[in-house]
Amino acid sequence: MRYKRITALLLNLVMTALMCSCGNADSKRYIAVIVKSVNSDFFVNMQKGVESAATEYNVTVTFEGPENEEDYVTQNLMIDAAVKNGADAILLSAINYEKSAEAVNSAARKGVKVIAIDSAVNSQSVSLFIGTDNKEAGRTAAKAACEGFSEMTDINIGVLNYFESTENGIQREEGFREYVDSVSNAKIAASVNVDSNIESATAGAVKMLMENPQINVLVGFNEWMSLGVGYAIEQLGAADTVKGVGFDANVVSVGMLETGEMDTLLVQNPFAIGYLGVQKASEIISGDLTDSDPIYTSVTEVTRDNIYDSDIQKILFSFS
Amino acid sequence: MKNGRRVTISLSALSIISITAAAVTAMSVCLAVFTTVYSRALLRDASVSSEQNVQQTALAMDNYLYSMKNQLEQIVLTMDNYTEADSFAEDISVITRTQSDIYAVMIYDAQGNIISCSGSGAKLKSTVHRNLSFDIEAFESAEDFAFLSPHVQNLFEGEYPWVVTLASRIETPAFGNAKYIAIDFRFSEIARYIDNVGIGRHGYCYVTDKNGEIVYHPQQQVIFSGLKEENSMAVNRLEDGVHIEKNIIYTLDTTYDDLWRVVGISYTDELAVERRTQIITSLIIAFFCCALIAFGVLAVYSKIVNAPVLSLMKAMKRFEKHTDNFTYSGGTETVKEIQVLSDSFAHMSVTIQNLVEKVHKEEKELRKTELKALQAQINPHFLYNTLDSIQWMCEQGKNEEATKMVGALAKLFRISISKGRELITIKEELQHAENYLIIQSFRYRNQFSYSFDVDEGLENYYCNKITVQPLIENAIYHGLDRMVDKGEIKITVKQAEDCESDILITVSDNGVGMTKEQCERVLSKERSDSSGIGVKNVNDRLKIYFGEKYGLSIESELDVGTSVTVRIPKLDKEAANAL
Repeated sequence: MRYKRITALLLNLVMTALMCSCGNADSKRYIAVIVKSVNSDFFVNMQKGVESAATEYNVTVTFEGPENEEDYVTQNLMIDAAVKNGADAILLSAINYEKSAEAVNSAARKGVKVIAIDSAVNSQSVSLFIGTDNKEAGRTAAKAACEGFSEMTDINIGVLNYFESTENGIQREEGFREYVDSVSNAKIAASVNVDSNIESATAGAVKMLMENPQINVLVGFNEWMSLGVGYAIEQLGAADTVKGVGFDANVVSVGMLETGEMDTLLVQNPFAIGYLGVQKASEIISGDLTDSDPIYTSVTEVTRDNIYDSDIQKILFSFS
Repeated sequence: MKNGRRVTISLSALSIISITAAAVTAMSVCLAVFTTVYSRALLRDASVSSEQNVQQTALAMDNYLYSMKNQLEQIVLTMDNYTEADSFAEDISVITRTQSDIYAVMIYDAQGNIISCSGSGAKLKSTVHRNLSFDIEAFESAEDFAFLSPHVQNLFEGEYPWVVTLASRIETPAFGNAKYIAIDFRFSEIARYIDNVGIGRHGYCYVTDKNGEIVYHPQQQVIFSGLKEENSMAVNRLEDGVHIEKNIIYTLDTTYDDLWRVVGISYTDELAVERRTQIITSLIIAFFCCALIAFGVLAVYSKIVNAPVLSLMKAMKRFEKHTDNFTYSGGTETVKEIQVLSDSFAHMSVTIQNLVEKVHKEEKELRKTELKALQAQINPHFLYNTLDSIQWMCEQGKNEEATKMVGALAKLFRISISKGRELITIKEELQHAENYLIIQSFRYRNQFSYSFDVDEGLENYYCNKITVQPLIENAIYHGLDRMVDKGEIKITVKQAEDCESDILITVSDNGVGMTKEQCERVLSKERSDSSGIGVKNVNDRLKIYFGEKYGLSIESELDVGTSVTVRIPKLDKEAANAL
């Protein structure tokens, strides 16, 4: 009689365990993707990567970002909301390297995995970074900037960067400066930080070019900065005298590349960042992957000469 | 029964084991059969659904290509109506603006210069860096149509849509030196269609050209940046149809005009294996449910079958041990057979008890009758000897002694008869013994003396009549008769020391004594002369009346004497009457 009771108890336990495991297996994982903005081509492409991977890995995703690319407060609220909505993981492209740390830590304390994409955040709780190796990208930009000048020519570089506390901008500039320092005839003639939108970027670039006429290379560190560089060169009619180097691409900057205002675009692979972000996040959630080294996605150097190569086309222009 | 070698097993264990074994076997067989059959069916389903998806996609591609060609032919036909490029372009612009899939219609001269352009309304670039929609080699070598793989259309300002170009040569130019007509069809619709093809949970499809080069892949940005590999070249070597390799189901289909191949990729692990696991899981759950139900059934079964059988068995054992004061109430059982068994047993136990009691009673009665018969008898030797003595006394003129002797004999008989009562007071019994001793002491000429020692208050209790006399007789004939010295007989009545409610009557002599064997023989042997009451009769009678605890015990030592003790319960008048 006693054996029977014990066996029955064991059976119950086993069944409960089975039910639980089944229940878990059936509920879909939820990954919240929080980026800096949802307007730029960069993040639109990232969203496509996110959605592609979401279908492939059978997870639910949300993709959101503040209206304004400097609005870290809203971004932090979005992190909190994602935690409240039961996100299993958050993919975060942090606007502010420092100011979002607390929100990230608090999410991590509640068991939510946080993966930094594109732009890092100052927190130990981040499981993984996926994105461009920004320092390396900065070096590549500097290399492109210094190309095509004879050793006799002084290379005077104007740097147009955005919000000072965004980590990827800082890293890019750091890599850029490192490389420039190693080139004997190159120096950074001027540097300015502006808000991350086209208007301030253009205004900042025009002002810098006016004040520093010796500048013969102008560099912008994200999509809006690149446009600022291009528009400034266009406005001042300096396409032949100033070399434009920028990050990321959209139809306007590609047009500028064709017409000569811009000379080199360093195109990141936002689709890949979004895709990998969701892929790795679902692996981390299911326990197949623990913390790992950063995963760097490619940066493609696009110039007037290679813009219509078949592979570059596929990276540069989205199907929509 | 406990043979050591023979393994015995309880009914409940047997039923548990057999039912569980049956359930486990049945479920395992079901599981095995079901899994095999079902996983095959799943794989077949997966293949079929994959094939259907891919064929449908290929058909859709065919439709796109067909409609493109159709549109190109239509436009070429209308061309004959025009003599000026501008008016043609204007009219065609209406078509390109209303028909969303046509992005632009271009007419080139032999060098690829644009003669006429009808686009979406965007401004044509003044300088075109490199026209991806113009490929003179392809245009020249084409039989009737030239087809350019998806590419970016970069002729208009601010627009970079993905298009496929369909072109044909203009053999008889309607205007100017027009040589080629090319239509750029938007690719986005086709891309969206392919993006939305889902095979299984995360299967997908992509399109290659006939050489295996990827024309469009839903994740081409991932593939071209090297994050994911799609071995389209190797897959392209497969023929149209379904191919299952390792965990991947490759499904290929070629479009009607051999231009593209649609490749479907799906995973057996997700399509079949995952669902199979799900099914196995649910089967296992079902299995455990069955087991649980089986246990529940067993619990009930054991309650209504095993437990009653067990209690019946226990009752039987108890009955075996304590037949006398056994009571068994059958109880109401659910199972008919057990109820019958139980009822029968209850009935049988009562019958047996009655029978046993009856036998007891009958035995008692028999003994009593026997004893009564014995009591009624007068030992003829004793009577003869006594009467002989009386005669002798009378002849000698010893009238007084003769009178005493006759009186004693008369009393002896009177007590012996006692109005037919079995139980008399100890006092009467002792009187009986004394009369006997009086007679015997005359006969043995005072060869022995006797004394009584009776505790106060005990002589009013009752005892069986003629209990003490046979013991005295035994003492005289076997103890004192052969003695040279004067014998002595002591009769004591004492309260038993070990039991408050018992009385001990002891007859002791100082005669020759007996060996242990002799003592035993005395208690087991009937009287040799088969008349009168022997020591054995006394003992048996006490035991019949009062139980095994009571009766005689003999202590004897050779040349020292013998002492016979009677143990009887204290019986007052009421108890004696009740008996």
